[in-house]
Amino acid sequence: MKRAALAVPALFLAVVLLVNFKGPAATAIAVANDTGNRVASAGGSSAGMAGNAVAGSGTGAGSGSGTGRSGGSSANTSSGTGSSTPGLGSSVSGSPGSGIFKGQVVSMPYGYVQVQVTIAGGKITDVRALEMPIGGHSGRIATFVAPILRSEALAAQSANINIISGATYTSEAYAMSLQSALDAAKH
Amino acid sequence: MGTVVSIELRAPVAPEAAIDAACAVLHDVDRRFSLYLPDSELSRLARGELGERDLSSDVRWVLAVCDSLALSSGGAFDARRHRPDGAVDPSAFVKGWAVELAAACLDAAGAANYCIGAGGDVLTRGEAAPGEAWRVGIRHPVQADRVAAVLEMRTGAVATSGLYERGDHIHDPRTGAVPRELMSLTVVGPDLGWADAYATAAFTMGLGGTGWVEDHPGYGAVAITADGQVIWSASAHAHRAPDLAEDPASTSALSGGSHLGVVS
Repeated sequence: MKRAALAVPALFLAVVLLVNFKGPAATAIAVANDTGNRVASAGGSSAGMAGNAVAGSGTGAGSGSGTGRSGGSSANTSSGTGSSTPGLGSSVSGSPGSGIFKGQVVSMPYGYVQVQVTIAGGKITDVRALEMPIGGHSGRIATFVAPILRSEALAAQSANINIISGATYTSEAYAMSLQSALDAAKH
Repeated sequence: MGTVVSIELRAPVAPEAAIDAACAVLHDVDRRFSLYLPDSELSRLARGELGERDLSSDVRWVLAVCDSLALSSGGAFDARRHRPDGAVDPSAFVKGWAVELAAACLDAAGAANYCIGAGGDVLTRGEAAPGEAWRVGIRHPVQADRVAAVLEMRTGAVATSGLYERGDHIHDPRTGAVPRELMSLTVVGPDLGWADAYATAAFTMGLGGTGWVEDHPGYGAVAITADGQVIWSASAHAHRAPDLAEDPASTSALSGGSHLGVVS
């Protein structure tokens, strides 16, 4: 198994990367936080996105409710079954027990972010960022975006998404929370 | 503040040495450009220890690129007026440019199918699986674990500028005000450095930003407005994943320029 891992803490570009080769048809990616601690790794032929943004959730009702749309193989389906649907499906070093673990609540400008990790049999099966808008600006945004929320808010998992593009933000808050969730799982 | 970079490779994979080289490139750019490192060239420039003519050629080139962007964007993108303290900050271009350099290391080693994520920027090469493009989600501006749109990418770049995670961290260099028309703007195109810079400029421009991006051959934009509409320009619409087609009642006629895809 070949691995390459680097972490450079708290700089403009903290490079954290892990690649695990399993063979010609398989790939692997990994996530780590700024201090270089390996947070999770994923293996398999269609691993979900790792990195600063949120990973696809392993279960879920799927895409925007009420649209009644059936076309496409992956949209509007729930739960990750079949090889074409990437789950996080990772093993965590230290093999924590099963359960749902929540990380520390980390404050961000638009509210608080808390990461919830579901671990079953030593594998991460779901990572979810629990946004808890505290009113004020976040409250106004939630109202404005009702049109998106209702129909286009897809879980990355059910939309068979490999990676997510989003506005730049510090990875610290998310990784810190995820890390604390995983640390909690180890006890 | 750090950026997590992830690389996902499909067959044919590159040897580990190529991945090391890609990471070394990123570290090198960081070392020379980061304003968070006191000894970087840009930090020393900001303190007056270096003049612009003393900078290494890469840094001077980047600053020249940013100056041209300031002109072409009418000042919506301006590395010299980005920070309140006046420090020259080309980071909106540098981040994507650095990832392109890193990708070149992987390309040189024979990697053909991979995607790189860096702080919300995405670079793709080849396919996720034979016959299947990479599916890149545009992060939902409100729900962190949801996507608002899906793009199909083979070889190209996706960069997003927006206001959701960090609050009021974007200021229009021309006015000092915070742009309010859009929640996010995503640029799709061939090069991540340019996509990154165009996204920053176009987000600041607001609703007119999508047309400005579309004026650049090969580049398109997806804007999510403050009231929740998703607007696709023609070049970006070409990458729109068919699984996520909008309500048949919505309007989305392809006739050049900006296109309103109303998501209801």
